[in-house]
Amino acid sequence: MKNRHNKIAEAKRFSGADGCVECGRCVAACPMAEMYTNFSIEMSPRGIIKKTLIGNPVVEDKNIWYCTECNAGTDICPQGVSCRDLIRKLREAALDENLLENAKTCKCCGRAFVAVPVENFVYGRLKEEPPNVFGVLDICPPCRREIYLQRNA
Amino acid sequence: MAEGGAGRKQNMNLFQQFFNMRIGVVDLSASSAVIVPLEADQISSYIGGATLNRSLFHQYQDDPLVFGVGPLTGSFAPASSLLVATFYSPLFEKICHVPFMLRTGPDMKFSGIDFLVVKGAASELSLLYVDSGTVQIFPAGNLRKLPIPDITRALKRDFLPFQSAIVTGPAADHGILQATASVGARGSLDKAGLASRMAAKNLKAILFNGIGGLSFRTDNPDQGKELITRISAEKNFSHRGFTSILTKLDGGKAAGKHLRKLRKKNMACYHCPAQCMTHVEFIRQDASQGEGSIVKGGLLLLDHTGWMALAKKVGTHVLPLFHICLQSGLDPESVAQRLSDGGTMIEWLFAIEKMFPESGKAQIAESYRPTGEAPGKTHTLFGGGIAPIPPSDVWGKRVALSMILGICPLFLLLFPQISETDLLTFISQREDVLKTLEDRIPSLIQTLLAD
Amino acid sequence: MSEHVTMQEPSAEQDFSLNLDDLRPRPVEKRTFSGYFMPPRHSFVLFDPDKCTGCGTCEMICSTRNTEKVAPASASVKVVTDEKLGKNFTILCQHCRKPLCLPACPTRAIEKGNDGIVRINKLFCTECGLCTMACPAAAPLKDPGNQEIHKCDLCEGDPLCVRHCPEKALTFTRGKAFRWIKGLRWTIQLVSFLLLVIVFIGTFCYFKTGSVSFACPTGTLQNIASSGTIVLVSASSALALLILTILAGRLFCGWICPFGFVLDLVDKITPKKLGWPSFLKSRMTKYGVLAGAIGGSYALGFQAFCTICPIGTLCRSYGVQSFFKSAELAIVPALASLEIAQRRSWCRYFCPVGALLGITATLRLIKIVIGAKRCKKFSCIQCAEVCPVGIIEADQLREGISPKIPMTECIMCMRCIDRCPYDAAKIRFRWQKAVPGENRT
Repeated sequence: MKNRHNKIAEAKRFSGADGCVECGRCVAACPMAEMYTNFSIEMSPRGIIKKTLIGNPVVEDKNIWYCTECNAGTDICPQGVSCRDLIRKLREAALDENLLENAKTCKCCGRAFVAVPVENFVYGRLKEEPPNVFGVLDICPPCRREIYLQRNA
Repeated sequence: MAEGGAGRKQNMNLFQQFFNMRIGVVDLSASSAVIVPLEADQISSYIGGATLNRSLFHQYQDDPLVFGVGPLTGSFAPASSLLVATFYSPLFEKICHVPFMLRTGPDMKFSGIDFLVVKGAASELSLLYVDSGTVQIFPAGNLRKLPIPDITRALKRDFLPFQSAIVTGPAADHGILQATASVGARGSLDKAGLASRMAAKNLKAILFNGIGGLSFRTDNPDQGKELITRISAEKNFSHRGFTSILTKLDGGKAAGKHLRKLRKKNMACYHCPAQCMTHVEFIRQDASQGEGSIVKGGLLLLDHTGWMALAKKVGTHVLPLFHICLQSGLDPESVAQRLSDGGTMIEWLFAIEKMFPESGKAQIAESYRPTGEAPGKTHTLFGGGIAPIPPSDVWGKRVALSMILGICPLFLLLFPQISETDLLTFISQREDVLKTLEDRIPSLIQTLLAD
Repeated sequence: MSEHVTMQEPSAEQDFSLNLDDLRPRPVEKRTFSGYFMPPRHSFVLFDPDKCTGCGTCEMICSTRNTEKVAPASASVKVVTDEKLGKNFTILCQHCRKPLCLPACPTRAIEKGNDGIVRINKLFCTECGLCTMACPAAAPLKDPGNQEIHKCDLCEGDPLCVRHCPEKALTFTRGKAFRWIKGLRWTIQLVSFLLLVIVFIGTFCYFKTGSVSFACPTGTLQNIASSGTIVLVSASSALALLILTILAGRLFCGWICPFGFVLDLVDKITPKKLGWPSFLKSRMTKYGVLAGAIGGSYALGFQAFCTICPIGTLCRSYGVQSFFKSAELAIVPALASLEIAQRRSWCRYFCPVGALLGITATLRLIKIVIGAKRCKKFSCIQCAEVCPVGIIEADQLREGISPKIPMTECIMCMRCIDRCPYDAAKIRFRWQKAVPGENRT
């Protein structure tokens, strides 16, 4: 637990989370609102920053896995707080503790490349397409390019 | 270049289009890596590439390794792929400038550093990682004594992302003087023993993560294309692959015959229209995997003189032996001299294996060195690996020009119709700048060739 | 560590929320009349991996468009090399007919324009990277510096990479233009219909009317089975059709059969297909019908199937001098209505003439091949959509595998060859192993 405490402190420092004034601009810019019908304050960038700052157990929280890491919140934040960096560090801490159920790993290289709720969103949007194209969603983009090369060159 | 304050500013703007204006100075003994600004005076005096490397080599005494790029590296000029490594060669016993092509030059420049000076020696096996204008030192003990393809695979899998790498092979770890540095798993034209110098400093690899960029002459992006169209319209533009270069060399045609029946694909370096490298697929027996087992592999051929030397000695067995040289990071020419005439494949394999003793010093005696061919002294000055493409009277000057500007030397040798002015217009088309450069270059070439 | 504090959801009595459909509604896909007959041909960049030397000039030049510098890492195209296999490939956006990045974008920033170019509207892009996740080739690239998503937009009509590639491995093309096979085939189908149905009544059948007879091989077999004798003239004219099949596959089915012509016309007016339940969809059924026809003829002593055969009924009953037997008239429309379930379902599942020609086609001289390396794979798949008997495996094309086309099922209509803009679908002799796009040394 001590190690986790250090990691969260490092995450807060790296992202500048202490500067958050809760204006909510990050939530307004966040694409998660369009992606998830259950979009709530729990998973919004402002919510995650708040939870981290008041000391809630965020590393085990499933809500840190909804973010797409697009950085729109960071771009718009008047205080320069990087919600993406905070969430990324929290996810890394979760992976270090082997809390892997929300991270999807590539079938080829084994690296965790996308969060499961994000991938489910993409699955849902592509569901009109024939099922074979889904096989591709299990592979991370760099490996996908290598496979495309091997098949087509 | 114009003198005076305003002129200096103008020069600075021009230099900043072509250089990052950063030098990375690494002291491995102290485990420190700092960035030193590149001064405009240095560029005015030495332009870049091998000459600026040389001035840094003399500036930072204590036998450093200096890696540098020219002003045209990465620009719209064709074949602008060059990275020059300047160091004291233990084999030729003088200062040497070795070219590295493929994508090493642009990747170093786009990593934010123009020149890299490596001094001292590390206490444990290390590697350097150049990214976004910084240089970091990392431990690399797990890469010791691995064959080069395994090194690149391990780095890609487990390490930070990178675009190009200069690595040394297990030959360097064993202290063999004729060990060569390789670009990834593809080999290089280094016959001056850079890898043994790197091993003496306990340096395993240098990685470049070139994700930045420079503006060069984006006001005229079609300039490179116009030059290429001009030279491809002429009759001598028929260069396609490794074998076509071999045919220009003495005895190269016979060496090229060994590739006849293989599946080949020509490859080119950064922004180069004249492919001089060929990837071949081959099948060979690998006794280590069982009796009569066949191994399918592929390798990139870019070392013309090494291939010829090895082919002359071993005939049809050249491909698997060349492959072994590439994997171990050995210079094929030195290996060819070590092998006995008229032996069998087994004898030769055994001889190569004996070069890597389990303990004790390496078996290759220091007297085995590439003798170098015409044009002699300048050939070894530039690492001993650049093919002696005729005409030989201008060979030295053309190669020296390419090493200063940052263009692949083979490209300039293959196309003698490309003049110095053609290349300098890629820097600027202003009359005064061109005049200053044209006045400066002959003396720089002379200094370079005088070593 | 402080206590766990629950977050309070602000209470909402009224729902003021706007969703994306209000702000940026999805455009409704219109099918134009001309678009139905002649699908639009858009320009795209075609890549030939055999010519590529991996020099990376395309990346370098492309990056000058995205940034003001030369920075290959910020390009919209990516050159991937495999050192071991010695292959290079330039990954760039294929501007698919049905782009997968379009539905995946959460802010609907991606649109396919009328010129066929798929564009990312930077005003709405949040750089989330879900488009890259959805694309089978991962073509949208994330700039490692400023995190923007760069995707090829064909440089709005004049691609830089095409202009600068020293090996001409990238070409900007609209694909093959003139679709001449279609016109030829419809003409021959019409002429054959007129001759066989209207003019020379009943010629395609065993029943001989007038001096011209062109005997159906299935009918001939039924006749032999029922009467036990072989009439040389009809057998030899049936043999003519079999020889045609040996040379060119089931060309009869696609180009000559008058019932096939009727089915193609019905297909044109019923674009929406209802589909069969899967247990009915077996291609072996028609061989069973063939066996039943011959066995039935033997047992019953007359040609059992010929009386109800839609081809025969068409040829006999609809001509100018024919006698309109009402019962026979119903057979053709009844069986033609099967077309509503699936294209050419009669030909796929029930026709014994096709079955016999299919058996003969195992000796065929030519075959149709689709070279997956030359084709545009998941971004196109027009051949699989246009094939009336549905024997081109779209899944295999998406994976990049050249599908094996069963020539016993293929009716040689050559719609795939006609439609493919990239010359990936071709006719080859059966012994030729190489498919278009692959060099076999």
